[in-house]
Amino acid sequence: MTLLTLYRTSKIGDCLAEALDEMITQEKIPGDLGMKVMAEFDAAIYKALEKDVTTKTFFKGHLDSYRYCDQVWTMVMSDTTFRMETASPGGSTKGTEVKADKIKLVCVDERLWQQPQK
Amino acid sequence: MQDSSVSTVYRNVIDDVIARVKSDFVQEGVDEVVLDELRVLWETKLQQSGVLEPEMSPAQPDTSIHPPPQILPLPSFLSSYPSNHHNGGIPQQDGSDDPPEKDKGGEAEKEDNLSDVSSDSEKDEECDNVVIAQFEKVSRTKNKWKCQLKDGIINIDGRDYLFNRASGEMQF
Repeated sequence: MTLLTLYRTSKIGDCLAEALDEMITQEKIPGDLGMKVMAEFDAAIYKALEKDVTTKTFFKGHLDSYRYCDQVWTMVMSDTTFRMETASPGGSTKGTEVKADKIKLVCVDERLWQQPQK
Repeated sequence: MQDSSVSTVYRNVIDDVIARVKSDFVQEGVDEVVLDELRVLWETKLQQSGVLEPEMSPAQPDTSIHPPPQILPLPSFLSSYPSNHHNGGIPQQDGSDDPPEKDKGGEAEKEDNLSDVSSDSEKDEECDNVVIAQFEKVSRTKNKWKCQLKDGIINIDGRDYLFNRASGEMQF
């Protein structure tokens, strides 16, 4: 997995891949065009998270296991609490708290994105 | 009031991707109707996936008086699932005896078991809670870990949450 394709494993990426798959199978979209759509998704989701999302999140939990390989951290945490804070334009802050018994963290080195691809 | 709710961000991503590939579709001679179809299919799948906040779906009165409108019949493959017992119906779980490979259970049955196993584990993987993000810094002092993350998608219990920046503390 490279950083470029990191977000393809998210649900929104997965849904796009499924939709493309169906339409490529039906021969409505040529395969190489499908690849192009996925590549544009990589760029679009990254831009959205960087520019459109303002939420800051804090989390605390227990680290069960960790692995670092090829600039990717994979961590499994338990009893983790996520506190998400979104500042609205009015100045007030909206906070949400979500707990997870078990959660897997997959993080890619941010510097990979800046490296020239291909 | 959340200006950057998940559904808004995702809608923008969909719009953005469709706009970006429009010229590619024209160049390849693919009709724009097909591009619209792709958008609709993508949006529908995303709605059905349940990652968006409940506000997105049309408001439903939350009365638990009514029974569920319909009970889906079990897929037929489920009913035939536990039918292949070896060892005369006693499930063998310690694995100390010789596996009944040669005499019982033909090739086809073995293949069945294998495919069952792999699809099960795929499902398990999918329903896990996951965070996908980029890391700026991961550090450790003794058993205390700290991470600085950015541009992340959190999926907990099927719902998505997004963050621009995140920091975390963990005890190992």
